[in-house]
Amino acid sequence: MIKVLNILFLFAVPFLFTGIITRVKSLAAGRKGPSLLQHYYDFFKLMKKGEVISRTTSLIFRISPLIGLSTTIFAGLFVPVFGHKSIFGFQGDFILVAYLFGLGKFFSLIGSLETASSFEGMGCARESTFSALAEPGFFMIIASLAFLGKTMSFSSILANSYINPELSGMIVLLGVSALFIMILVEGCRIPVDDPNTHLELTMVHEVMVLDNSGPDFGFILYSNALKMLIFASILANLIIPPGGNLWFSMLVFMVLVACVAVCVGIIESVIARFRMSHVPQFIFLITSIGFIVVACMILFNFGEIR
Amino acid sequence: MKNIIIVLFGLTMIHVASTSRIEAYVKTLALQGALLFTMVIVDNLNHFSLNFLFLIVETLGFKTIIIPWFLMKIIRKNEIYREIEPSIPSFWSMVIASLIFTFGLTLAYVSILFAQDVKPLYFGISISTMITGLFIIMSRKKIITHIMGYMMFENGIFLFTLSLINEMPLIVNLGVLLDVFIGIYLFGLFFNKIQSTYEKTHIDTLTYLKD
Amino acid sequence: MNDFILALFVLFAGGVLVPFSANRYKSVFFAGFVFAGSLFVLKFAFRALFAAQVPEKFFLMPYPIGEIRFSCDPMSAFFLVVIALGSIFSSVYAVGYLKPYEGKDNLSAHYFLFSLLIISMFLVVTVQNVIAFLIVWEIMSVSSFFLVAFEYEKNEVVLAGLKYLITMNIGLIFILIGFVVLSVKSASFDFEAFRNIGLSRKWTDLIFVLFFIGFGTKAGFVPFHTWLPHAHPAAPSHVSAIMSAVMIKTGIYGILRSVTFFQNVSVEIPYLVIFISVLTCVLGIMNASAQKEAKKLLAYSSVENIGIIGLGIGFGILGNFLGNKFITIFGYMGAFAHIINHSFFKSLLFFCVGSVYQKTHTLNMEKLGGLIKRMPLNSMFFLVGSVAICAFPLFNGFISEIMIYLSALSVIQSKSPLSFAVAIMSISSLAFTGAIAMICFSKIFGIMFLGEPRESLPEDIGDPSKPMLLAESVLALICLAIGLVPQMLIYFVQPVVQIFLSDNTYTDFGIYFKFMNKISLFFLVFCAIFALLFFVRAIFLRGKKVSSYKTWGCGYQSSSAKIQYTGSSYSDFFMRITKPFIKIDEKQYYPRGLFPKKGNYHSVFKDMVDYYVVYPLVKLVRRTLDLFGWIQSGNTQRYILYGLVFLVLAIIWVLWW
Repeated sequence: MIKVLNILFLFAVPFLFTGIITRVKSLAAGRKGPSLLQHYYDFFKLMKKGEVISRTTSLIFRISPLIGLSTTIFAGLFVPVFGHKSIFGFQGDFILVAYLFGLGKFFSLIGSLETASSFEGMGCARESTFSALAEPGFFMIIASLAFLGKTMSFSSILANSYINPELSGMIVLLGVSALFIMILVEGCRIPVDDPNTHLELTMVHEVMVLDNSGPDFGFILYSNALKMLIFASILANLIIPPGGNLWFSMLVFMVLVACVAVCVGIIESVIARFRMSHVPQFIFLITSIGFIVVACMILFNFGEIR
Repeated sequence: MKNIIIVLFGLTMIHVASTSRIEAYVKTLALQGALLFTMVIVDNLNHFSLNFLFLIVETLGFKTIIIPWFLMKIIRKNEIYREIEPSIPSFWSMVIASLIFTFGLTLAYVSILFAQDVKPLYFGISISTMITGLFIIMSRKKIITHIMGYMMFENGIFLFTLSLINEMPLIVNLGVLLDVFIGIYLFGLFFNKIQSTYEKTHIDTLTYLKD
Repeated sequence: MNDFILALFVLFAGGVLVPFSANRYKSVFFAGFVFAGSLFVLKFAFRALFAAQVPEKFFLMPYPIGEIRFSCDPMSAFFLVVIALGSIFSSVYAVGYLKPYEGKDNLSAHYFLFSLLIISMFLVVTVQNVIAFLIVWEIMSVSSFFLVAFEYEKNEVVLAGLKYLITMNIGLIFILIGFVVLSVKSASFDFEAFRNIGLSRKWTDLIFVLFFIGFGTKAGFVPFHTWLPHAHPAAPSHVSAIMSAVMIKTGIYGILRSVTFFQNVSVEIPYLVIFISVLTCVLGIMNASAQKEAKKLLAYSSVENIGIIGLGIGFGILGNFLGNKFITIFGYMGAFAHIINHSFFKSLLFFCVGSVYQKTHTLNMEKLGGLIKRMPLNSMFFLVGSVAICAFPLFNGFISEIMIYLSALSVIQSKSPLSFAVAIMSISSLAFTGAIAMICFSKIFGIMFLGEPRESLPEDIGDPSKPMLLAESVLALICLAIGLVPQMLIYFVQPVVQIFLSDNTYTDFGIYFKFMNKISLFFLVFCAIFALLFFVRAIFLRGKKVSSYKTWGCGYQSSSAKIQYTGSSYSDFFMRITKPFIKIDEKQYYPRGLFPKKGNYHSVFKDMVDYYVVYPLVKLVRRTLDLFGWIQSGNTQRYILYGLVFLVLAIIWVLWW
């Protein structure tokens, strides 16, 4: 029963997440904004269209959105939602999730290099660097949590944050901020990337998908939203303590995910995209927070608890 | 709760190491003063004494309000807004700040083995704040950033005393306050003089004074 | 064991008889002999892997060598499998690759030395006598030097080969000293005797470090890796493949053999190995992403993968210290699995790049592009190789890397904070190198094979000839097969790992099999999801128009192929961030004035270790030796004078004594 709800959540909610972000941005700008379900309508409109393929491309361009979406969906099956266990899980599955995201990103990189356009090359160069800088911090934090609870599977790792009461406040705070920055990086939001700009020189992810159209583009949008939703559910699971009533934690989970969407929307409306040389610094913040988490873990876990 | 405040304090140092806007330094200084204020309150809520009053005045009054206001005035009057050419690029300066942070916390872990009544988290973050403050002085070129690095160094010393003893002895406070006063007073007083004589606030010109 | 000796004779016969065959059939002839010999070796090795008793054979040689013992314990058998498979693929590929060189004068010599290399590699992993080991090791280095210098007409090729030879001999010195100490202490030349001497910790540490430096020079650990990026581009592609896939692993074999010698090393040793491996990984892949020449990039990527293997070995040794079996088993399993996986996908990558070189005669990726339209199969195999080397799911690279991750994660149960910190740092460094590898291989695949050709390509480019395609396709299939059915790999690696467990009881490997079962099941689910999405899209696109048009150029009408991103610009963004670790030499001339003028920009990335360590050292040595240059005056009479002076001094000294 939970598994069915889990799958439904993964398939149905991503566009609602982006819908909340768009709505918050519009409200912050003083407009009424599109309806929350607008992205669903956009998706189905794209599905009904045909495609225009660039002549320079080959088979890889056709399959890269598919690989991107299938890796994201498959990764979503390993991520716990609702404060409960994930659909699939094994010891060390967070490594599989990270490398699945990497596979999707790799194929989107080569798919856009296919088009022989300088815009796509620029976007690929920037995007690959950003994801490279975000990886070590993510692993540091998740691995530290694994050490805390002596377990290696995602569902149990995220339930570990409350094991050590001295540490839990800090872990939750630092983990939440690091994961929030990960959402901004992987979802290509301000301040890492501007999803609404129409100047190609300022785009990072948008410019990589410049030549995709029709159902391919719909799949790309869907996988982007799903990736953000996955990181938001990791974040929410970090906050929710384990145990407790299932329906209550489900409700809290949905509220937290919605709050994350609202925060992303607020940040998008308040800050501008950072200067390109400052974005790596911002992404390195994840690794800094990772260092702090590791050091605090050593201090509290191995030393006398003070 | 206290741990979260201390970690936030450490995070502000990392922010300072990576930014290049001087107003951000001043605002961080004010934030640090506010965090120290909350820590002092939380520590001493039960016993009210003259020392406590003095501490509140010092942290809230001086560190949070007066000194940042004074520095902001100087910045706005001389229109120095950016520190554009540090000797280390800001990405690496942030990396070094994180490494200093880790080093400080490692020292704290080692300190548990030697001394029993040290609060390790306070100790670690205070050491890292001190070293980061010195690092900011070493790697920046404008005099005003040097002063602010010095202020952060003093904040680190403040935190250090908090880690060793449960309450702040008056003498340490007086020492810190003296340093702060002299620094700001001299700096403020002579800043305009330096500005008008050399027309630059770059320390390179100050090296001409060596002989 | 007789199978093995027979196989060696077959290989030797192949090498010797090649000059007597017609020019056209030399390579096929040679490949046939190598295939037969390697099949014998494979049969022998599989039997030895699972045998209850280690096969041995003794040879008596005249003094001073004494009695040589050949033995094939499971670790040697594993390396025999790696070497045999690598040689088969390399010689099959050479049939097609060396076709344009058919009339070359040193072709027969090349084949003879190739067979000598293969024989010496087989012997290195089975011989158990110090002097014989050193002799065979040196034969291996010298024969590979000649193989590297195949195109000896080009000056830079010979220089690269000489650099390789000299570095190998410097490594040999360290190995020699280590073996000398061990032989003296145990008064024997046999490896078995080294296990039983009770050396103190100081001695075992010292000898292990000496072996690590010596064998690490062959393997390619930083800072001894500087020969790799020079030797691999200079050699022809089949030689680069066998060097990178197989010969480097003999260095790893040496390190592992020295691990089995010592029962008590101090705890700093695994930390040292882990530290150097992490450094190797990160520096290797960072240098790789800076290169614009394809083979040099692959050479640095080999350095990175050696670092990953070293990380697995380091954690394996650490596990014995912490008393945790999971760390040891996962660590060694990951290391051995990566040894064989790396040989597969690195050979594949070198073969594909060699095919490109054969057709276009350039490996500078700034000049290539759009090869996927002209050489579709070759590009697909290169894609398989790059996905495998970046350790993405579905292929074999993921299997070995996840085992190394799990060994680092299994440090959970330990109580020491230092091991915790080291484990976390190695996990995040491994993740970091994985992400940089993604940059690196998307760069080489995207710039070389995709897009449009940056300079005009010759007309007759097509897919490479059948032998080359055969070798590439079989390797690609193996990569996919190991990725989907990793239980095979565990089955073969299991007896090897058994050797390294500190308590010699039999361990049940059932959980590892179950773990791999889960992983292959998940990969099948992933393929199912992908197929489902493919059909969904096909359904949606039914009846819709799919038209083709030129790429969006923002309305710019006269775009050319030169506006594409080049390799250097692709990695430039990342390189600017990591400036302290890579040295960039830039020469630029910017136009001045108001009107458009010519300008140019030239950048070269230099290896930091090369620039700051090796070159200054070499310059220092040369300057010191130049001081003594006056001794060699060329005048014979002066030499006779030297001899006379020495004689007189010797007589005086003897009389005085």
